[in-house]
Amino acid sequence: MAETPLDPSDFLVTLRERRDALDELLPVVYNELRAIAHRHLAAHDRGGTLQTTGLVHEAYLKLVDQSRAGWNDRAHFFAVASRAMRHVLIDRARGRTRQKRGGGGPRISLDVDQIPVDDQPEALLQLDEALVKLAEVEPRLARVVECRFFAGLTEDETAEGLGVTARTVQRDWAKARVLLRRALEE
Amino acid sequence: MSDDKPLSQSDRKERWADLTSLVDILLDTPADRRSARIAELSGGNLGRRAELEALLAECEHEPALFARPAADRFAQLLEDDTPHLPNSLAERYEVIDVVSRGEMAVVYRARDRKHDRDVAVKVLHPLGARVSVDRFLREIEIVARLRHPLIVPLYDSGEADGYLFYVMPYESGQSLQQRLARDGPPSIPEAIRILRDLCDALAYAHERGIVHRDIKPANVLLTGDHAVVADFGVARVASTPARLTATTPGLMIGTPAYMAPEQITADQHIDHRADIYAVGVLAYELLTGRLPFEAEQLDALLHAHLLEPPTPISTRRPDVPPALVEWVMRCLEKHPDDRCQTAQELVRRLDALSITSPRRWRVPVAAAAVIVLAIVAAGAWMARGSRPTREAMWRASWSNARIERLTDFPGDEVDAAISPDGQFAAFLADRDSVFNAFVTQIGTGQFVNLTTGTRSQLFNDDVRNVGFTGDGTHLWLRVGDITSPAKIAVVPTLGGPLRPFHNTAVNTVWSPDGTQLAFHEATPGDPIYIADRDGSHPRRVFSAKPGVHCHYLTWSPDGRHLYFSMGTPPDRMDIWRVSASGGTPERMTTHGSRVAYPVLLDAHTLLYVATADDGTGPWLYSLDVDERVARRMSTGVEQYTSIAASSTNTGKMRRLVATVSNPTVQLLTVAIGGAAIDTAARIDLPTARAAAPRFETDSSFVYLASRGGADAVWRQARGVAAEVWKPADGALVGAAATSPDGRTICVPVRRRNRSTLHCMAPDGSNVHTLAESLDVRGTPSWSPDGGWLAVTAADTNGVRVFRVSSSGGAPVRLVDSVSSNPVWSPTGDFILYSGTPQARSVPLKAVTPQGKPYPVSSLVVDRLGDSYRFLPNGKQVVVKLGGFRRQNFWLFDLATGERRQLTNLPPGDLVHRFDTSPDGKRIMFELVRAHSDIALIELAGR
Repeated sequence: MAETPLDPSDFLVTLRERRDALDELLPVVYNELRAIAHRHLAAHDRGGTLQTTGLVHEAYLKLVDQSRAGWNDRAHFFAVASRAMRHVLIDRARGRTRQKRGGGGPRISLDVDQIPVDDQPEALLQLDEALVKLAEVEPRLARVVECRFFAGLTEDETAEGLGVTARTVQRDWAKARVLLRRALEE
Repeated sequence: MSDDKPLSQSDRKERWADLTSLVDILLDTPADRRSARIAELSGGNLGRRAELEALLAECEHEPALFARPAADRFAQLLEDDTPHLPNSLAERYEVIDVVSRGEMAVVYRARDRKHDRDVAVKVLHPLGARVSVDRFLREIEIVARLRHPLIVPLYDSGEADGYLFYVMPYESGQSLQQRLARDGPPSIPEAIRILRDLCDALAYAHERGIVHRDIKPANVLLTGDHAVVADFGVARVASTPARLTATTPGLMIGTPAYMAPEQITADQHIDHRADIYAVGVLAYELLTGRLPFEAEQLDALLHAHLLEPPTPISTRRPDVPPALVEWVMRCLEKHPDDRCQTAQELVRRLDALSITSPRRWRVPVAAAAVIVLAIVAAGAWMARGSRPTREAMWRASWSNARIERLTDFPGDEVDAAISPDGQFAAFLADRDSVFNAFVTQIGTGQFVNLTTGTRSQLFNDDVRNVGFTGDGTHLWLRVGDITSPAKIAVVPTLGGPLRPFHNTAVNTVWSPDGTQLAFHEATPGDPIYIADRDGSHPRRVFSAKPGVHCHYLTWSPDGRHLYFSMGTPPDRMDIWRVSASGGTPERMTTHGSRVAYPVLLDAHTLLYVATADDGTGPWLYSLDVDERVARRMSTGVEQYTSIAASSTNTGKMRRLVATVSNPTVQLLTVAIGGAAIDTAARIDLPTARAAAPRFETDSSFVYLASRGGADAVWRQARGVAAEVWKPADGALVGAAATSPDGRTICVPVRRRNRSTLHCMAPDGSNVHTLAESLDVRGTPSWSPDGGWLAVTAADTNGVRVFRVSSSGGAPVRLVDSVSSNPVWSPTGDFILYSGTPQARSVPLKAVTPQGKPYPVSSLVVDRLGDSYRFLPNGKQVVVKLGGFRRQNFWLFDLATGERRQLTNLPPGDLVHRFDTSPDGKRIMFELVRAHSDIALIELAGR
């Protein structure tokens, strides 16, 4: 059998030393998040709830050798996990949506509280599209959205993950919301 | 805002850039001035004004969509990812329905066409290369060999169309999990029956070297009269995360709620005893309907498994027989060695229980109490039942204690020790300007000076320096120069010559029966040894990792544990204990502050001194070692800096000696004269305590002060002092530093075991944090252009000097080795810092803002407080030199290494933090005068 490409110690090393290793780490985190989400949803049937932050923390505990990890590893991990979480959801949404993109489906608004189940894939894809636009103009704002919304991280965790201050996260989060609204309205 | 045409990227960029700069302006304006700012920006244009107001409202508005995180909001998208039964399997198995969908697998109920029977087909999720096929097949092969009536057998397993699957008989009963959810906890005899079946099955598998690793109610099926165990060994194969090899350590396998501590810490040596722990959790749940540890957050749950005792079963279900409670609690021991060692033994103990008829369990209350008391002696866990009485007795004993002053020397008396029989007290005192060791027979008022100035540096306030030998005939003293290896000497209690006793030990403590000696060394990790009573045949019990210290050793009265204070001195310590036979230490307290001098009054009562969360103290605390809740014992403003107790074994009244202190902390100022040496003058300030001065201009400075309670940031400007800011929560843990332009003050604040830089306007408004990712230590230092701050922060490997942009952004590490106390030069081109300590001496180093070493003349600097501050020319520094409590200021030339003494301060006081004025003409410093005495405490009824 072929050697598996990434073992946990490598994971930690990659996480630490190669800030550009997102592409390598992403699939691992992606799989883990998906698996954990499944378990939580299975528990959901029995009255459990899905806590996004819980997913990310749990994936961290599973993937990173805790005996050797430091706080900054956790922060880097969050940053990767937020991107992975976005992919997990978007991939699921792609799998679900059958109509062509931009095919006149209902436009998503940031102010909706409940999205009908049938509209959810489309809503998520529109949001993703808006995020792509946002990232083209202000990449860091898109990362803040990934952390805050997709990974459910707190301001502090987001700040840690992105290596900025919590104050900056606050500001970025406000700006991102304004710009996302514009992007969705375009 | 919507357009007919989609915007091009550059259009969008331009338009959005306008928008974000407006948002930035609005958000940077304090909330109460925003409408004024909007009026200003719109310049009377009402339309513009409305537009800006709308924009502000939009910034502040949390859109409903983001109120819940994405995975939660779009949870349904994640569901229903059911793989279909692979085609090749479908030929043999006809799906009847889906039984469950889990994280790892989907379980189908199917008809086995070949054997004409109902089966459960479990198909693992096709998570890419997630599971090694070979490995899965190999493991499943081992499991398939298990043949036991109480273990669900495997009919078939393998790979089909890339899916891994295995086939089990379909059990028509329900799982224990379903049963618990439907009916709640079963009767006690039934619970015992289920547990017995479970342990029986485990005993069989364990004997064959197979560990289940995921024992939980969902894996226990109830069929007919029996409980059978499913999914043996599968957890290990199937939960191996993506592309990671399962043999690699560090992976958490299992279900968090049932996971043994060693599984959580990813110990490489997980064995069948992890299953025994899970049985304990399951049994607890079975009996009480609730888990022993419940937490919303996974971190908290795992933490509880690792460190917290479960809520006693009796408080949740009082009718569980004590012997069964003990059975469960033995399974739940944190350390595998403390658990019942085999499932077979668990079965035997259950059988012994079952012989007792169920009726015997419903004994009258009074009889039950007798049982509880009888078991107290046997099982530590059961002792918890009598806790309120114990606590009440201890409180009463304490509040009726007789306390008297044993010494009234001028200056400091510290590090008090008491002989095992409680008849002699020893301590260090600086009555004669240097520290000497004194001993007194309690009640005589006579003191013998044992060292008479012949030993320097007897006192080190991070460790215990003096104590009695196990038989009380001698005193031991730490006599090594603090920069050399530790040494212990002994001297007869009634006085006499000092005799060398040990060459490497610090803090020697004899076991309660006097047969063994425990000590630690001063080498990295402060390794702890237990030796024969004369120090021979040492064996290492524990060593922390380098950089972590273990001080203040003490034995438990039963001689089974050593208690000690572990962490980073002086103020990141906690009390831990380790079994005298070695193993992993267990944390007892959670202060993370200056925690010292643990002493056990009895098997359950730990006394120690610690500083409080707000930085005040140290105070005296007590802690029940089973319950682990710390209670502050001392009231009033007197600080307790040490505590010691006589032996429990003498049958005499327990006596304690404590160091009680009323320190004063003041600011003094002294001129940097020419040849003449100036006398220091006290600065008159309105607070009793004033510390950590930092000049802002020649006529104003900030400092830390309190009118009582925790410190606040204060400023004196033109002779008038006023409070600037006090944290609502947390403690100020370093001097406040004002930026060169005077517009920002930054100060480290400690809150929940982490310190972060808090910055604010000069009037204390607009408080925000900077470089939140850093757990900072000590005081920041501004670059002369105000763009950066140099700070010390804790890294995983110890403390390091960092540079942080004052406008935010990721911190830059400047030094790769242990480093602290950075001070930016007024010329801006280098930063002085304290390098890696060698023994106890700290070398002065320098680095450029780019992280390149910068040459300076060699100098050994002080470890405590500030050690060097610049003169305006950037070439000379004022340094604090001299031994402990004999310090003076010197002028030091960084290039030539020339030095000149500036002050002649009286010995005995501690010069802690200081600063030089911007004009280079004055030094302002913090002087700590300890005023401590030794108090004798006699506990009533003990």
